[in-house]
Amino acid sequence: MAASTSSSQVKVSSENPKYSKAVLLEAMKSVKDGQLSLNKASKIFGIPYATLGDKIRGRRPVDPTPKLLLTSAEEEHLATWIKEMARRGFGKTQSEIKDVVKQMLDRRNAKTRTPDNRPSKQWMASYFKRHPDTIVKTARSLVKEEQRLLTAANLQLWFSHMKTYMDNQDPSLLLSPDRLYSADDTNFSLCPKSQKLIADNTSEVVYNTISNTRTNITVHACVSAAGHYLPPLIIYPYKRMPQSDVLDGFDGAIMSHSRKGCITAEIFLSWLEEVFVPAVSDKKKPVALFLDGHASSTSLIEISEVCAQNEIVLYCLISHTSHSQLCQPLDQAFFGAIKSAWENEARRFMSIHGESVTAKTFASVLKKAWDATATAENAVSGFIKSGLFPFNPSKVCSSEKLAPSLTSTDQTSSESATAMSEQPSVSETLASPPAETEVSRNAALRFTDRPADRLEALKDLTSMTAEWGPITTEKMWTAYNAKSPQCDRDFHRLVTLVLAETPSAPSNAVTNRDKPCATLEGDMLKLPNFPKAPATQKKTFISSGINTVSSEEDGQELRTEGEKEQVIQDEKKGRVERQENKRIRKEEKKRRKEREGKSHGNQALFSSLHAAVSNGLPKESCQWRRSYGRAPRSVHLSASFVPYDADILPEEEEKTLVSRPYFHIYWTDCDMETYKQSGKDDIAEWHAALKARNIPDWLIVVVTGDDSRVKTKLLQRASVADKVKSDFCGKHTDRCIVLTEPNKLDSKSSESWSLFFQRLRTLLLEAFNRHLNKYEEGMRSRREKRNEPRWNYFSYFIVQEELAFMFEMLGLKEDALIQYDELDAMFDQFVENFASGETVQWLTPLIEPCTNWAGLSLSKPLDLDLRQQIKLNSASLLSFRNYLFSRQAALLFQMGRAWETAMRAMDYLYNTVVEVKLLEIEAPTGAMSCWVILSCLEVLHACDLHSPGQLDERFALYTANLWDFARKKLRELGQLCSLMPGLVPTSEQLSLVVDLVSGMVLSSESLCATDQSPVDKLRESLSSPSSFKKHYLEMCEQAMGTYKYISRFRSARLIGMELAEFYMKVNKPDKAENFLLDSIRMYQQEGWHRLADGTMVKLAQCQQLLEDADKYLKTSCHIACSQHVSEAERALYFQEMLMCLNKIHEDTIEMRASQAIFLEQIQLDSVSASLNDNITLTVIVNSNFPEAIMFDLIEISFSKCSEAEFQDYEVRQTATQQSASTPQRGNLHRRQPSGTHITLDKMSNFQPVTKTLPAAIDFQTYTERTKGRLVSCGTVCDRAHELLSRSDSSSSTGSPAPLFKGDYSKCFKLEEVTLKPGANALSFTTKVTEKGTFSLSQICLTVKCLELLKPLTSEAVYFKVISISPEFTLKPKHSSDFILGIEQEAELSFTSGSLNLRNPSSVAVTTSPFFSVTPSPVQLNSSDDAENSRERDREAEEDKDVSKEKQDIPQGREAGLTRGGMILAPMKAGSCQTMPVRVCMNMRREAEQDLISKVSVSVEGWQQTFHGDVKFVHPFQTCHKVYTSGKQKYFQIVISGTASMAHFTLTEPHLESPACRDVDLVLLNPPHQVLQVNQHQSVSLLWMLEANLSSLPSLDLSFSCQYSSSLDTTNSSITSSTDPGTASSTSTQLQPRVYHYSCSIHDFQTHYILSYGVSSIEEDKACTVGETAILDIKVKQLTDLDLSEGVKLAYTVKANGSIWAIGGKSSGFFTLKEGKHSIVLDVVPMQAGQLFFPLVTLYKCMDQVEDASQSEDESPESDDNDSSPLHGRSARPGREREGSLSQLPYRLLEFSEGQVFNESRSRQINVRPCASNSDIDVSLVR
Amino acid sequence: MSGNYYFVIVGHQDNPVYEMEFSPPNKTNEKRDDLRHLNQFIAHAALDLVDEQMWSTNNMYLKIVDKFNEWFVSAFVTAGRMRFLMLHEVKNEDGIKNFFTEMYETYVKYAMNPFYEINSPIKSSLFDKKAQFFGRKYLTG
Repeated sequence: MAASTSSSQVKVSSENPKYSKAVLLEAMKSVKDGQLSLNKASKIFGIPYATLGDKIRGRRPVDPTPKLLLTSAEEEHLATWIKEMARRGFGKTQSEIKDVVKQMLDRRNAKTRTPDNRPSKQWMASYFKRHPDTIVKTARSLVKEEQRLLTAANLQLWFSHMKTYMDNQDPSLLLSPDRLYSADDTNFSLCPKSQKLIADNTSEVVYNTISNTRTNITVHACVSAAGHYLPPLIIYPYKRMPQSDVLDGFDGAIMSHSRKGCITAEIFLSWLEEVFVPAVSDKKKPVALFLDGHASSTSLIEISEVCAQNEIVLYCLISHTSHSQLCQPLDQAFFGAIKSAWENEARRFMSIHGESVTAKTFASVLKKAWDATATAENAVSGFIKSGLFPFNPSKVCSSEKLAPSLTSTDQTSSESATAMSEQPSVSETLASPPAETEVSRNAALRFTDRPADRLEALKDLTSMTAEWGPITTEKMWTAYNAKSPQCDRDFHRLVTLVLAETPSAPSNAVTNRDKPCATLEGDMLKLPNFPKAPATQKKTFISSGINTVSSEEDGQELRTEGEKEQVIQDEKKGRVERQENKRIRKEEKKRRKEREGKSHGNQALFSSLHAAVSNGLPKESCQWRRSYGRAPRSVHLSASFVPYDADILPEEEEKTLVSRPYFHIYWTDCDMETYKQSGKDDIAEWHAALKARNIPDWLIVVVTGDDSRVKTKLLQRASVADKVKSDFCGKHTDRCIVLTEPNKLDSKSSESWSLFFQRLRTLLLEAFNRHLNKYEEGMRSRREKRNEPRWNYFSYFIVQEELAFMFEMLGLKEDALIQYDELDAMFDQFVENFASGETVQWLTPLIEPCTNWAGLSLSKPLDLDLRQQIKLNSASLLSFRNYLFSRQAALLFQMGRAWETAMRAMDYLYNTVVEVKLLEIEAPTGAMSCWVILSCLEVLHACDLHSPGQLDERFALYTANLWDFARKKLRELGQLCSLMPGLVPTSEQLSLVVDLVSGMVLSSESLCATDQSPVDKLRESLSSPSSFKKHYLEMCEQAMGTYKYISRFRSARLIGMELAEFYMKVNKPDKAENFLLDSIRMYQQEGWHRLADGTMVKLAQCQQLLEDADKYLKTSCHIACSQHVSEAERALYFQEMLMCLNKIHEDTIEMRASQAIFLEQIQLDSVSASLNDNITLTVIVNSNFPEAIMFDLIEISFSKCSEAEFQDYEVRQTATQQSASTPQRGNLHRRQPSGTHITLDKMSNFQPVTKTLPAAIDFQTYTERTKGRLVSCGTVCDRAHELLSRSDSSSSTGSPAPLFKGDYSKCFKLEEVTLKPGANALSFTTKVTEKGTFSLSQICLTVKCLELLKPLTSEAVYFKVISISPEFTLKPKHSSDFILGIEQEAELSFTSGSLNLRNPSSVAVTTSPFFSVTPSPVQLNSSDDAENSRERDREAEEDKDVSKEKQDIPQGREAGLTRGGMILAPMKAGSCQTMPVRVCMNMRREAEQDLISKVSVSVEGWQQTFHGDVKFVHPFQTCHKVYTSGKQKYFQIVISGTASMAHFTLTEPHLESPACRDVDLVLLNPPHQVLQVNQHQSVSLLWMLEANLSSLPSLDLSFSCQYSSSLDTTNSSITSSTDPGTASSTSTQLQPRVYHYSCSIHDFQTHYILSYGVSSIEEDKACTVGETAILDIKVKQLTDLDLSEGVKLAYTVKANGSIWAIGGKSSGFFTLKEGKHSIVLDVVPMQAGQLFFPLVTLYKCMDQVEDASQSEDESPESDDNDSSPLHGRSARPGREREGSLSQLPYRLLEFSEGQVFNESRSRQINVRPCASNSDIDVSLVR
Repeated sequence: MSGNYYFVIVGHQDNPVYEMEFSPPNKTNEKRDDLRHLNQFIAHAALDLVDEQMWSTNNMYLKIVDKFNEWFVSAFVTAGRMRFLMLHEVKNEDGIKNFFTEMYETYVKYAMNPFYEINSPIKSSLFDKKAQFFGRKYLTG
């Protein structure tokens, strides 16, 4: 069916020649003549009926020549122009020509029939007819399209053509660089982030797509080969000229605007006129200007006019191809650079201004980039690379890679050269060969949307092919490597593009441009092997530019994350005829042997679908399930397609991964018929080929159109798909799929697409997975063999690395990294084994002496040189390591884990160094250090580049180590080469430096282009001490800073220490000091005393240099006292210290004494002291000084403190005393909370580092819920890490106040004390002059000007100063109380209070009269003082006197006045002293009761007199009584004891009545009765009164008796001191103590005797109850008394009513008659038994009127009148009842006791019970 | 297994609590004092890293936390946040781990002594002996 289309084509083309004008005229004529009918004529002449008819009828002019649009002159001009343009390479298309024509028409305002003034198609056709020479143009235009595929042939052709042309113009033109210009434009996007927009746009397609985003700005640049830049033309996307000055900031630039922001012909023209022409005006003419061939540049005819005028040769760079970069100088060098520079500037701008670059600011930003990159070098190198100047086509279309084509190319180029020279006939043929050659064999690269990559890739490809021949996988990687580092995102794209073999055979140009694809066959096709079949080639090539490309599959990558897939695509056969592609079925073909005339599938089918397929495939991700339990990944697949070729089908066992075809697809859209004819065979062949190679991965796609119609009309089984299925698929029905109406947009089509993609993805993954597994298996089996002798690690390395590459391309960076890590680990293992003696052959090259220690290079992700070396097993250990790490780093960077690179770098460096050692690789000393430094710096640079601007904490964590490591190594080197200050390098060291420098490879590429590279840096460092210093300090600073940033202060300090050392060496002690101080502070605080003191020595040296005497002194002192430095040093610094002390005079220097002096014990002699007393403090001081040192003064100050503190202390003190008294040893262990032993004080002079915690810490609550249920909750502190982290001094604010000398006004003081090393006991005494509680506050030891201070508050020693007044007490010794009247032994005791009695002091006692206090004789005796005894004698005499006189003259006597009577021994405060004394209080006559007396005691020593009371108890209690018996009277005295302890013996009782002699008192007691009296025993004495008087007067009686007591010391002294010679004692004996008692008695004489009795009425009958008895009362007046008659008396009978019932009046009056009276009363006893008589009482009756004074007189009125008994009774209770009974005529007076003697009192009568008078019935009971 | 070792227990205030050097029996170390000084520097600087790493793992044994020239620093953090540091010249992970574990036990026992104050320097000949023993057993032996 292809044949049929071609035939129809032929028909069309042959139409015109069919009938000529002559024939027509003849036919018309014959018709008009009527010879023939119209019909016949048409048949005969072969003219169509209608045509002929029209002509005849005049509807159409007979002559078909059209009216010319252009004048013939114009046409001529146009023809020339077209030709000229074509020669310059600007071939014009029809539409372009139309545009030109339109311009011409517009110029003269001509009109055409077409609305826009464009000529019609017909016009064009006729124009060509008229100007057959311009056919060339047609041909050229075809060539132009073919040129899309860059071939060396094309290039070569172009170059030769160009040269010819130029040489024609001016032979010297190509040799003069200043006349060669190149102009191009490039596009800037204003948003640099999105990669998509940063494309440059040398092809229109990009223009169109990109300029859609209206932020694009085009910059048109022009440069000469001599490096002269013309000002850039900036084209803004404005419709109108902008108002503001957009060019602000870029002087010299020129602006323009166009709607899309891209260049137009008009702009170009004006640029040419206004900029370029003036710029070259001074140049020799002609001037060549190379341009890209796009239409806009040249489509104006004026342009060529202008050029012609100015002798400018416009020449098109190999045009309309994407490869123009190859020879476009600007693209070669300049644009790439300015793009990246601009991007950086834009970012910087953004970071500074916070907004992105706008059109307004664009120019200023561009200016910076422009200035940086618009260098002559860039220009020149661009021209060189493009081969334009110096002219060198091979630069571009080099060589071997293109070799196969060159043969034909050469031929073609010559041919095309001839074609140029306007040989239209040849041109058609000529056009084809280049295309064909290149298509068939050569790498043709096609890129559209990533020009930069394209550029790079091509560059490398070309150079690569020159060097290495066929492209291999590795070379692809080179291409990758060549890219600038920041482009690595695009890495995949690039690589795939390079690797991909794309069937770039789209049937129409537009699709073509859109498709990113590259055809490159080098690697897989093994170029040299391909048979050449020129004949076929020719056929294969079809002028349409479609070529048969074998569908090879190959991965095309989908964005970065994508997965790569290979899809086989069936091959398409291009045909010249393009029209009816639709139904042409596609067929897959083997590549070289095509069966040509036969059914070749038209590849148009696939071309039409290609876009959809390759775009659609990656759209959705697809789950990749992986073997070996690895986690499934979701990947996006994308594929690139290559045409099928049986030759490139991979062999089964081929072990490639990267460049392998994975999947084969056969596309067909044939109908049933075709299928049967040819399709089936074709497929079968294809299928067989696959099968032969055992390739299971294939798919047949049947494209059907118009499905529905088919379905309705035809049976199902008739469909091609079914057929295919049954024919080929067999079991695998999934291998065939139907794609319905792929080019339509209906739902059915999209459904079938999605089905298709789904299937395709699955199958692709399957295929891929299978291959991968196979590969991995192979790899594993290789690994298993690793212990075999011939095994080579490096060849294995290459294999596994390919896997890594694969993963990397798939975007599975992690997996790629794992591969490298495995390799790494494996290598480690080998090295380790090697070190332990297991030699492996392949390791031997590594062990060779090291001559090259180039550092790691991270500038390229893949270093192919190194890889090659590794492959050949010729790499050194270092380079292998470098390579491996650079790969890992590259992956990590891609994953955005730059920090991990830094982390790994550390291990890497260490391990490598270790490995070098293990393997015993010879290397000059220092070589490894160099390597480490270089590598560190490189890594750091790389990290800088990859890490976002500011310092990242995570990042710093690892970089800090690197900095530090590099620093250490640099330092090592410095030492080694004597670059450290203070060292002078020897010649050997100098040569070592030279060696080391030479070992670093100079050219090694580095990341930092602008900065110094590590190598340069290191070299410079090694070059001279000064630069070494600079670099070293810089590194130190970096390392320190970074450490501090991550708060690794200790590490920072360590660096600080080294820095300090360094500074010391360069003699800058001032800088060193701070570092040292910092370190010391930290060490001190953390208790690393050894470190602190070691550092202190350094500090001392430093301070010595600084001549800071004060500090030096302190430090020296500190060192001298340190326990942690050597003896020698201590001694040295001790001497230093003494020297310093001698030097300093004026100042006093205070420092903490803690290190030097240690107080072991502080003890006060007593806790409290009395005021003004001395207090003694004992201190045991431990001196740490190495030698004895004399202190001028040692003071311990104390200050007041609160009472409470003291009490606490006291309690503790007593507690410890108690515990100390217990048997266990005195040191009681107290467990402290941890850390408390590090007291602030121990820090010496350095303030501690403390962390201040914030007052409040923020917490947040969090809750975690799933489906509304609470899962967990808690609080979180966001700053936990910060809070928990360690702090440093820098952050500490609360350091304690420095120690100052306190107040020493109150202190203990010692002068000139020498302290020996070790313990010294010191004793301080001071007098306290103030009351209160005190604590020790500070100790100060002064040596000359140095004062060592130490606070003592922590020791907590308190004491108290008190004053309490003394007291005395006087107490009896034996009894509880003093007893009156006897001399007792007593104790006089004194308590001293707070006063001391220092000397014996006399005591004087002053007493009141009769009261004596005398020293006890015992004491006197004991004092054995003659004088005392004499005094005692005298005292005794005085006593005697006193006792003599005591009755009469009570006089005060001062017993205490006896001189020296009592001596108080010295006593201490708080003590008590007792002295025995005798105390006597004489009993005075009147003293009858207890007595309180006063006593005063004065103590001489205290000069104080104390007063006190003494109580005396009366020893006796005496009472008296008178008894009566009738007339007889008796007197009794009872003496009882009161004092509890005292026993008295009474003697000689004597009673007398001194006033009355008439009464004798006769003692009735036995005369010698012993009368003992005490508290429980009393004495009764009874006297009978005998009076010789009838009436007794009142008596005053006085009683006396002698008494003695056991307590009485008088007695005891008498008895004890049987001193016969003392008269006084006898006299004392004679003078017993006498007790007096006096009393008086009166009215005791008996006047009446009363007697009464009760008797029964009946005589001799006993009284009976209830029977009246007679109470007979008789009153008798004593006759011997002269009592007047008629005294009225009264009586009362008183009885208890229940006992006696008294009948009648119970009282009455009577008067005695003859001294007698008798009364009888009836009484009734109420009870039986012995009853007392009723009591009868007599009263004296007095007249009412009589005075009370007469009451004494007995004037009883006898009154018979019955006075009311009630009255009488009622009168009884009171003796006198005048008040109450005033109405009575009498008042009753009782007689005093003894005046009436009642005889019958207490007599009784027996009363019988009353007799019962009732009968008692007695009944007998039987 | 040979090589020098320096073992230090660091208390809560970052203060050294116990120090001990181990060197192979055949080597006698002359300048011990000097060495100790250097050791202390390294150990002290490594505390930063220990502090950093002990939060990141639940293990007591932190393995090698730092490297300083030819020295490695291994660390062990007890439950009570006492830090055991070991400076060593050769890698001997198992040995050091065992040593740490044993020392931990010894330390715990020692700390149970009511007369021992946590964080105060350990001065016990018994403890020394134990440490020497384990050192010989796991490190230098």
